Amino acid sequence: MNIDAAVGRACERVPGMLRGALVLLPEGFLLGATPGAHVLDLEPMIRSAARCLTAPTLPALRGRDGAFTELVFVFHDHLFVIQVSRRDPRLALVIACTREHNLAFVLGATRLVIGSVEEELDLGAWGL
Amino acid sequence: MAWTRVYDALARVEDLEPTDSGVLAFGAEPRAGGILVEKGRICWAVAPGMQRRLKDLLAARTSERGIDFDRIYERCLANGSLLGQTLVDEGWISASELEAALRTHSAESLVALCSKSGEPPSWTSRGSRGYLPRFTFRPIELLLEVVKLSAAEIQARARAELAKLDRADYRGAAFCCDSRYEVMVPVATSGELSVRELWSLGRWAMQLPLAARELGATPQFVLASRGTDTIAVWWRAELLFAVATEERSSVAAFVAQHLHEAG
Repeated sequence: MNIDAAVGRACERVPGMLRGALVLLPEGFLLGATPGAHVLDLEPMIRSAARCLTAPTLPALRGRDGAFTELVFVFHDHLFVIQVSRRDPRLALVIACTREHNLAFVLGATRLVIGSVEEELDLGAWGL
Repeated sequence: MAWTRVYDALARVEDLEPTDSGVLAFGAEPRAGGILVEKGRICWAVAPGMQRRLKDLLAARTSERGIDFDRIYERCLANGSLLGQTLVDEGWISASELEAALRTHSAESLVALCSKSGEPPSWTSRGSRGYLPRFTFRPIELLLEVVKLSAAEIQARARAELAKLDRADYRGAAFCCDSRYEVMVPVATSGELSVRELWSLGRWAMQLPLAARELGATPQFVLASRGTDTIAVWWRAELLFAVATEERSSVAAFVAQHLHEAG
């Protein structure tokens, strides 16, 4: 099983895709990345995700308690999305994509990506 | 001032049973001061050296109203009547002005109480026997009044930004990350929040600018979701805003507004 290939294939459905990676948190270990993604470009994304997902717990203000599963940073020229596995909070997908597409469309697509990657890959060897 | 002491004291008041009344004392001696509480709401904070400050605050409010303030004060002393209530009864100030002066006085007293290091304050209950005050304040109201004492302009800016949201279901706050404060200081709120909720929200939200710094740029905004709960976070200069909503339409309205503002 090639994790890079699985991540690359799944991420094809994200509109305006620039680069993406599947990571293990909080260590920030890179499990797999999209084709052509350079580790130096992925590293800040992984560090950023680790910061977000190891933040102090926030009790519910609205809705339910619990950890955040989806974060999107909206920059003037691109989006940075973090999708946390709904099965195991140690697994997360980090994706950078362009801004020209609808935000809801991008978020919907990235939710499908993390789901399909989890379906396809057996990550038992990683303790997941 | 030690902000964490202010938070801790006000959070302790919030943690009391809603039927409980008494005093949160800042020392073994009664003269050391404390916070008088009635059924979970603050009647008054009293601190050494602040006894005459309320008179000054009331005098400042009436200074341009043609009033012989000192004569009224002397009369109240002689009669044993309350100065503030007398000013209201005689029409020199409105009830809301008296309430504002009492709130400011309590905030200044709280600052004085929390400026000294020492043992954590101790609670003495009076059970359900209260103080029958005319005005009481929620701990969060007093916290925001304390902020106003040192950062009124920043607070006004934060309130103006939160007011733009224009939706009733948002709950959140603005925090000041100025280097003069040792912690994130909440300066304005949107919707009902407790001091504890504010404290948690600030600690959580401050991770997002740090996460953005890893990416080397400042985002227009960040959305964080868990189930149906979405928190929008954005920051401008020294102010950081974080508001929660469960309404998808409110998230959409927020996104549209911020994208429009960014041009």
